[in-house]
Amino acid sequence: MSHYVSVFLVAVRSTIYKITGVFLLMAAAEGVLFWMQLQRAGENKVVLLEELIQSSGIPLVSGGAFLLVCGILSLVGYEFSGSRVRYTIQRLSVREEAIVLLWGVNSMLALCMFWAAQLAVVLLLSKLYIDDMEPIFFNSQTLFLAFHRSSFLHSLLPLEETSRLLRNVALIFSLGITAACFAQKQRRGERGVAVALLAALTIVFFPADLGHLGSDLTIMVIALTTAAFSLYSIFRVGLYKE
Amino acid sequence: MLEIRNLSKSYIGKTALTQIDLTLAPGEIIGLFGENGAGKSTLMKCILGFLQYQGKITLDGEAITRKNIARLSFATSEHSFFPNLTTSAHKEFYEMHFPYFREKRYRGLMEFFNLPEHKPLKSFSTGQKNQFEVILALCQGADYILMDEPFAGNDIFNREDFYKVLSGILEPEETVLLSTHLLEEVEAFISRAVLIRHGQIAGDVFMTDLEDEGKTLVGYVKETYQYKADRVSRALSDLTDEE
Repeated sequence: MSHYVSVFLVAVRSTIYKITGVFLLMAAAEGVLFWMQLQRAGENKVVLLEELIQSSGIPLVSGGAFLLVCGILSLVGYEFSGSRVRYTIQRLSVREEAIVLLWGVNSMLALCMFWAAQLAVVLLLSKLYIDDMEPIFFNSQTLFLAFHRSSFLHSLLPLEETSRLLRNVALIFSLGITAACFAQKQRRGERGVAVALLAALTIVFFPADLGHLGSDLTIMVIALTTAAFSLYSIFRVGLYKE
Repeated sequence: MLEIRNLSKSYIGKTALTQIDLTLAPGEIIGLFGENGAGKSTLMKCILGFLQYQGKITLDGEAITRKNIARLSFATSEHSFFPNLTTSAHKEFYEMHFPYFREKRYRGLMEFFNLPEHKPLKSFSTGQKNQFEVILALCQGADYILMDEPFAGNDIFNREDFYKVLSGILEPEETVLLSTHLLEEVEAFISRAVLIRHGQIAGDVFMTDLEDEGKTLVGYVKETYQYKADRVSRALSDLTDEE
């Protein structure tokens, strides 16, 4: 068991600080942008929370941070110039397939953390909005309504929409697997583009309004099919090209 | 005993090794010599199971699998460590995977090379990376330590000091297979020299036999390779005539 834990820790140690850095940068950038927009909002003009979130560019910052996180996760086990980690991986008692899966689990956890971090930042900014605005501009339903009206906020916290929640879970699962597969393919002299395609798909289609069951199902199918192909490629016997 | 029988390896359109027969006995320190592309690295990678091959390689009569691969360690100038991790993280990793990890030797060598413990390896110089690669191979607790040009990029003082330390720390049952171009430097350190040329064993000699015959390793290599001593003077003469 300790063998598996140590392999898992390789991925954690390779990514945790960088990902935490991205989270902090993202939170700082979103906080500053939101604060600036909040200050610009006229005292007598009603500015809805979701409008403020959108106009401060938080979805864009979030998308950029998401791409960075995907990049960091994809590089676990990647062989840069002057590094042949395959020679260590192939000498372990743990099979390479298991190693790739464990690194995929690390990626999934990191993406869950990203989801949670982005949600926490948005909730903190909402608190800031409520504290800063005149009480006349918000009520007990403000937050609830904002998360229903805004496609970005709704997809971040899909209240009462199970299909969106499942779509997000499917995306995290697939991105985790394909990110781990990316480095494995590189070690085998192949190219893994699945993670880039899935990340692009996520960026484009993540913000979706309430009630888009068809879109949710389509993305879920695409994500899970990609994950299935990636899983197949992990277990396919592939020769290392020398 | 590591036995290689009838080992052949071909890449697409190229034969890298042809019917290699070699036995590495416990306690031997074997120098593996040959020109670039002779097949030294390929031989090591076949032993470690990194490449598919024809023939048979056994360790004490058993095929090399995940069950006994820990008895072999590998240091390469290509570097096999995780560049994002620190040396201390590697130590923990190796301790978990290799039950006979040599903690005391690790501490001693880290001190000898004066390597930092809490910096990621990607920030190390090439020389330091080589040193750490060799430290891991020596401390894994393996019976057979394979080194493929481990000191490419290290200065001569560093290399010479290391060979001295190495000869002092190796235990009688530890076997080293060392591939290098630096014949003179390892001459005093190795107990046997294996020459490989065009994928075949061109020579295999014990250093004691060479000493008895009054030959040097360089002399033996030149003799085996039928090195033409007048090659340079003839080339220079031809070039001068052209002018």
